[in-house]
Amino acid sequence: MRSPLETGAATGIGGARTPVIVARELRMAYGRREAVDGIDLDVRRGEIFAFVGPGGAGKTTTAEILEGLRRRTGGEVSVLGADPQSARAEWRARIGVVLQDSEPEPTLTVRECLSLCAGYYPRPRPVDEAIALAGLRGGGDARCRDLSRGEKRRVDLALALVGDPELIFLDEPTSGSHPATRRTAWGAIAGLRKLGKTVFLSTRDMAEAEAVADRIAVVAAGRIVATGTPRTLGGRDRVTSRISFTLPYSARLSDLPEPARVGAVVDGARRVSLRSAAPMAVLGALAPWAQEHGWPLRDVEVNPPSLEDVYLRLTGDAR
Amino acid sequence: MSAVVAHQARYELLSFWRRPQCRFLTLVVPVAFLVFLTAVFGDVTYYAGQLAAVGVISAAMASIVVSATVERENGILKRRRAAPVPATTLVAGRLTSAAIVAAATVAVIVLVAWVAYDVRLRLADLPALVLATAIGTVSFACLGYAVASFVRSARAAIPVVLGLLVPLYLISGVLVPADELPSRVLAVADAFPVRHLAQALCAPLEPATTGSGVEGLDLLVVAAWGLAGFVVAARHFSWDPRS
Repeated sequence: MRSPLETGAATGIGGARTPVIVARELRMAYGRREAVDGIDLDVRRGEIFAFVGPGGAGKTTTAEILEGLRRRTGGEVSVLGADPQSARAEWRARIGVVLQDSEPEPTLTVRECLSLCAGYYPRPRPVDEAIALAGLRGGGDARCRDLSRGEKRRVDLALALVGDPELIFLDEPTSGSHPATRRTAWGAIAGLRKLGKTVFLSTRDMAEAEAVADRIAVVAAGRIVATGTPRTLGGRDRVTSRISFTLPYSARLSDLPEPARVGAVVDGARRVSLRSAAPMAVLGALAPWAQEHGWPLRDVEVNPPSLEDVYLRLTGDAR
Repeated sequence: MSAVVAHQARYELLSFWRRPQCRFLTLVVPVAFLVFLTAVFGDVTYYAGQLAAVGVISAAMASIVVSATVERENGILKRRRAAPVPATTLVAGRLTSAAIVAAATVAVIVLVAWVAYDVRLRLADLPALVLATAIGTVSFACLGYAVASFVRSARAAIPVVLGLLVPLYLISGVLVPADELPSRVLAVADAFPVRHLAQALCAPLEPATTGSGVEGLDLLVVAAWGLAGFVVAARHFSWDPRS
């Protein structure tokens, strides 16, 4: 008997909306501790899906179950139409993996590491192409033990790409990297979208998810607490923006036009701040008001809630 | 032999060659000991056999304990497991590289004994030497994986290996000649594979040996230890740095 999950994954192969990863009620218990406590996932072909959460939230455990490196204790999983638990070599050839803690072979050069790994795959990508895709500079003739932590992570990325897989798992691919190196790595990850690859990115870093992901799931204590695009995650598009400006010298708070007066507070530096779900309406009332009185309106700022704020709110309780 | 096994073996050899401490321990130390011990105790054919055994054990067991624990700790083994390559292919590749290093070490020792001490290996005894080297390599490689199953960190690998092998070398007559060891000590040594492998490697080099030079009983004991190592490793060896 086929489970509904398998049938679902088998229909419409190749379509843009085809689920590449489907998980239902995924569970992993270590003794009594539920590291993964009922996770549902739908990752579509060609998207970059970020799995964001603090350390110990169950990200690596989930990724390793999806990669077929760990057996789950409950739930149903289908990755590329198969159960990773009973994966064969043909299935493995279609996935690429950057593990959370791994290093390239220390005594080999970057190019040798990649050639070694390429030999495991039926249709590998040329080594120099993998080097370029991972954004590695310097030719690949350096011994891996001489590389910085960030460069080693980039070699790991190249190792995951050298087999030319269709689905790539990245577990904290920029941890320990220099900020500038991280940005290059983000460029490389975002570039995988153009090649039609599907990416499952686990990270602690919301900025990383915001920089590269099409969709984000926030995980805390083994459960998904929010899903959405970088724009909509956690109701970010619906919550209020913060508006602030400096009150003109001769004006008082009560002089402000109606939409800008509601809930407004002023501090000792004459800085007015208020929250609004419709910031344009507030600005639309403020501008003619200031012009009418001939008052300059300085330092107007409109701030939507940052993704970091949303993330901290979502994961705050579970930590 | 599958192409991937040869591919793996090639890179394992490259890794081995790039580590000066590996080259020194496997290739230089046995020859240095051969020269030193022969100078002290004489009997070059005896020591050629003993140090050929040391070479095989270093190439197979010692270097596998070190490389397996280091590669496990670095996540290299786990990463390879995520690739479409069977574990048996990876192990076969590692074993092939160990066999090549072991054969090279035995060859160097035979050559040094030939050139410097005029020890002649007869062609008829060559198959016996090859057989003993092969059985020794496979068996001690299995024992290497078995030991690596219980060594948690890469830093502990060399102390554990030395802690196991040096006492065995001492009681097995590898360093002090067996004639000068009490029979009770040798009886203990006979329960372990080191002395048997050394005897199997000595026989083909010994001019007094008649027949094929194959020490069947000794090789059987070595193989039995290897099989035990295989069973333990198959059950306990882990690819995962965390477990």
